[in-house]
Amino acid sequence: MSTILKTTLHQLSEQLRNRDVSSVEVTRFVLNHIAEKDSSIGAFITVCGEEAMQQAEAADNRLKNGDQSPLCGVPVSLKDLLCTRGIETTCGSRILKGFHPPYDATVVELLKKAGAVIVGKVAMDEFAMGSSSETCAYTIPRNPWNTDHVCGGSSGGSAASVASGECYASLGSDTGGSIRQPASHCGVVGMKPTYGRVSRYGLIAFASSLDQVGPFTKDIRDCAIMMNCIAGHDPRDATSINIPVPDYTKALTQDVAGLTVGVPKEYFVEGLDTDVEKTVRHGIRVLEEGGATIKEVSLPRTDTCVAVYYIIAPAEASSNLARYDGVRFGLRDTNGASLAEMYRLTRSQGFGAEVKRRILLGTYALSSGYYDAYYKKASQVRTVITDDFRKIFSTCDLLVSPVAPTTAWKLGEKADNPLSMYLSDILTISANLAGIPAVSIPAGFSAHGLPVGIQLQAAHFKEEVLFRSGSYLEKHLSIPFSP
Amino acid sequence: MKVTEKEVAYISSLARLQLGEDETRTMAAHMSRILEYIEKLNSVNTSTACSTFHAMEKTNTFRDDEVKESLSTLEALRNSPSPHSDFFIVPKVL
Repeated sequence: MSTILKTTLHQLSEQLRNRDVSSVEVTRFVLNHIAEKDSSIGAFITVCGEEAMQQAEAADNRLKNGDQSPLCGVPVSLKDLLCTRGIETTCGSRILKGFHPPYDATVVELLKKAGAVIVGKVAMDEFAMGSSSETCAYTIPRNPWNTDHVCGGSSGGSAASVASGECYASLGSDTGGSIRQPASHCGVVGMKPTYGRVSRYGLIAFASSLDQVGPFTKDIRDCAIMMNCIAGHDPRDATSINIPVPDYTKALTQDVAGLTVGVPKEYFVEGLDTDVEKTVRHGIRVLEEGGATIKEVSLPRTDTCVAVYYIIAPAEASSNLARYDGVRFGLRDTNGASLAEMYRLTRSQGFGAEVKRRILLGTYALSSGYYDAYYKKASQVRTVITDDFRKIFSTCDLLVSPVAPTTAWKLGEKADNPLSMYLSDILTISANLAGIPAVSIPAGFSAHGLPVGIQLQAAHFKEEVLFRSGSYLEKHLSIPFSP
Repeated sequence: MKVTEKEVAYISSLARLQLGEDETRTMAAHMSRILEYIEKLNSVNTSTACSTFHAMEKTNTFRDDEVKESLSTLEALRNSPSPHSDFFIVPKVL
């Protein structure tokens, strides 16, 4: 039974549908594994043991009646900013301690409809603001490949829970790289869909024009299965795009012949770790051996994307986080003599330093006298960056690059230097600004045994190109997905 | 761009945050460094660029003006820090 933790989602699904194993057995085993392992990994904020066993029993009844859904009975975890009805949802923040949403996020409803078993809510940087998950107020997840190192962020708990075998898939969110970077650091697959491809209803907002929900999985087939489940139009999300969802598993053709692959020269710059560069360049050669045409391209505004993001995202966050005031949910400081004082005390006590820093940056950028110089300018540069991608994708099917300049750093290493942390997002941020889909696939390891991911980016709604090329790379690189 | 402690205090009041002296000093230093980096934006010519506020081009989404099921009062108040059957109770405004 212990080998069951090493299987992929689709392998487990086959066993469940063949009735070789029951969801109750697997779920019990997974929950025991979490109980034993998570004290050293720290991925989970809330373990939903009772609810998971009930869902597993219901899944077994469906499987007994011939249900063929590939997610039926499969244990999954959820980043703790996805609303789960009746289950505490904290966004990794003290200010939402005790908040039990009265509804499920759309993606949670879809997983439940498919019969998935939700084993718990996992750790994240507070309100998704961070690149290491170290700002989580509850538990800091550790990298399963080396527990002295970070998982990355902000969806660190999602990445860690999949890599450590504590679940078969997870849903995270990506605003500036928060799925792809922890996926790369923890050696799993992580996809950010096209903006509007997956509903944000019930995703607690950080930056509404950048946020997207996406899957973490052990391999690319599992990712396609998860995307089939969660993608699609949702009338409850006004930014959801009404375009049919293809069967992404049909795009797993493991063939890249005829594809034109662009390699942005600005992504291979000073500061890029030599092991990361070596691993990614090997991946590019593998694509070329498969019949892809490789060409160097230019994304000339790459060096401004961090600046654009760290105006736009904090500005949107300063507005989105105004609702945390102690009135309707979460923490309330009762020492205030007036309503205004209650707001100030609640927010000051409830938010961590990074959240406060971004709220202040965003408020500053939007304030009278500074709006044009910062927010308006950043939104114009965003247009230029998006146009750069449109031009590139008129001559390329795909872009390939590193995910992050380095592998996972040691816990605490960047805690006192916010700007250094922000700069580590330089290779992922542009995809969010432009709204294009991107995926991180395990590509190898550093000399110190830490995972290195390779990033593939495609034009809007071209996730199939990512699945096609990702499946080819996965087959030919053959990287193990767990320690 | 140097951000002063006085500016941090003003911005904090706009954001309904209350920072201690050490916090204010640290925020001013961090914000100054970040905003200095953000000056990079001025290197991009945006004279002909409009603003992008949404990643995908989309017009406003409307639905028909029909009454639909929504949260009950009980559900909506369930997470209130100050329990009452009908209202959110807060300190007096005036």
